[in-house]
Amino acid sequence: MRRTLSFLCLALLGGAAQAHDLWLEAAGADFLLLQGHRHSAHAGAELVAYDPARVRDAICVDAGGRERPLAVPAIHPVRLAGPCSVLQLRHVSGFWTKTPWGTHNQPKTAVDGAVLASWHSEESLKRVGTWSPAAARPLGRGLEISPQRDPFALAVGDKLSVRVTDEGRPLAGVPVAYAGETRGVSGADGTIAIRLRRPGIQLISATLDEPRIDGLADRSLRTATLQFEVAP
Amino acid sequence: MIGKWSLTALAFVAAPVLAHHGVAGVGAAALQGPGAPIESAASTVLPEGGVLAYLKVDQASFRKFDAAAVESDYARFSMLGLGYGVTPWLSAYLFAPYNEKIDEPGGLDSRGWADVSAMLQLGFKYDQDGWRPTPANESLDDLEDWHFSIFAGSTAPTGSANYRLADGSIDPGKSLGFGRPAWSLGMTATKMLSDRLTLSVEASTYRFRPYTYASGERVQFGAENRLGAALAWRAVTDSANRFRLDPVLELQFLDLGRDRVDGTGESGTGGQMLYAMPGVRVYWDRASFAFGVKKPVWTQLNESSTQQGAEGKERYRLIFSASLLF
Repeated sequence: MRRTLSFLCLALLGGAAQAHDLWLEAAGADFLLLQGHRHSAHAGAELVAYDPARVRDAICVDAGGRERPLAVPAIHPVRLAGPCSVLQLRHVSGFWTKTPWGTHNQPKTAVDGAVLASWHSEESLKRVGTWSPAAARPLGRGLEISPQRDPFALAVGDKLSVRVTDEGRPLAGVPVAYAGETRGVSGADGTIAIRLRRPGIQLISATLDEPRIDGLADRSLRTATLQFEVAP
Repeated sequence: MIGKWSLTALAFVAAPVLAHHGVAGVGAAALQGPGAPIESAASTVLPEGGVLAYLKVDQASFRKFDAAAVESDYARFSMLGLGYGVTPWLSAYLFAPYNEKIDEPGGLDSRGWADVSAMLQLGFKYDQDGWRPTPANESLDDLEDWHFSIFAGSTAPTGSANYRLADGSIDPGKSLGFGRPAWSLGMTATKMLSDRLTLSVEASTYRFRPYTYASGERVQFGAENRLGAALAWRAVTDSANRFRLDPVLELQFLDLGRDRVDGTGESGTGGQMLYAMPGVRVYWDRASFAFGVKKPVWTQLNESSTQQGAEGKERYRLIFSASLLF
């Protein structure tokens, strides 16, 4: 019961925390990090600019599981050097404080007057480009979603089992969404099955909502997104 | 004949409506998950460690045919139930029925606690990976798959089989027990046809053993075979208030064997009938309530003109159930 209640609450917060999708688009052997609503179920600008300084900790993994850090240029859109079997990065938009007069990208300690809500927002994006056993293993850096089987062998209508982990450990009770719609929460082993409903780029997201005790914000919202592509 | 309904009701515990495992519980996901029948059994099993409290009232009002005779007026079957999720795929239930069979003024009534019963329900599912027991955690996408259950139950002769009516007689049809355990076996199938429409099917059989009453009469009630189908439509969903309302249309086919008295088939018993039941099921927080009006729409009863007060001769039946998951 506790889990289902938290599912409800987190589903509501999760939507607010991730107003735009992040995704990686192939550009030759490299990848461009884009943001917007091109793959969203809801309406919005196809592409939305972001601050490249928010992009951190990009890692490229080859088919053998070897990792190499990627340089993140301070130019929008961020271009990351491939090829990679798996590419993961973080996008940290920082502290947000909602007041009666608007929402500010600052901790609540930096905002005068009444505070309605405050949170710290961080997203991670993992793109799986080719299947290998390494792609099923968490990289172990923060909140993360990993496919438990070859997603490229699936067709539209099939289900994919994914595992939600935090620092590599399975995480239960985390709401998981597909195309912006919450489909359930991860089980005791961190897994949940998601049905792939349309061809093309797939975005599966998990949002973890935790209280903060540092006084800079009330809550910490971490979102992890798994990206891969399904042929038409 | 009426006495058999106490057993029938056992299997009609639309028990696990509320009772989904993991996500499909009573939280947000239940607001979008599969619907459930009003009365027939569903494929949903209780979450591991979950406890379900259940109440059902089934009131049958009978058609009258002879103004000069004292006929059966109505029967009310109330049932208390308790369910427990032993594992994510195995649920256990206990039921205690209270039966009232009331004649027109001047007749012989019976009322009291009837045979208690126990039931086990085994849940399983089929998806792209094949058959497997119902898992502990299912997403809304998992819930769209075919789900099945097999259930088996038995009564225990705790009710008074030799219940004496006001004139001191024993009427097995009005007794509060079968004298010996009676058993049931059934299966269910459930499929979400869309994100709002759910199909549920139940097939089941109920078998009775002969019992010699204190009157010296040896009676074996005829076997009951049932086939039911229900469509539930998720019409209203209010996530903020955790409220959901589903109109439900349910059809139930019932095949009743002829009773046997002292080894001989009893006239005026048995037959076939089809019931239609429109109704509504409401989910609110951890509770679920169902209400339906059930009417026989087709009957083929043995010696039909002599079966007043039996199944198939109702004007209507009002079905109400409430369940609460802890």
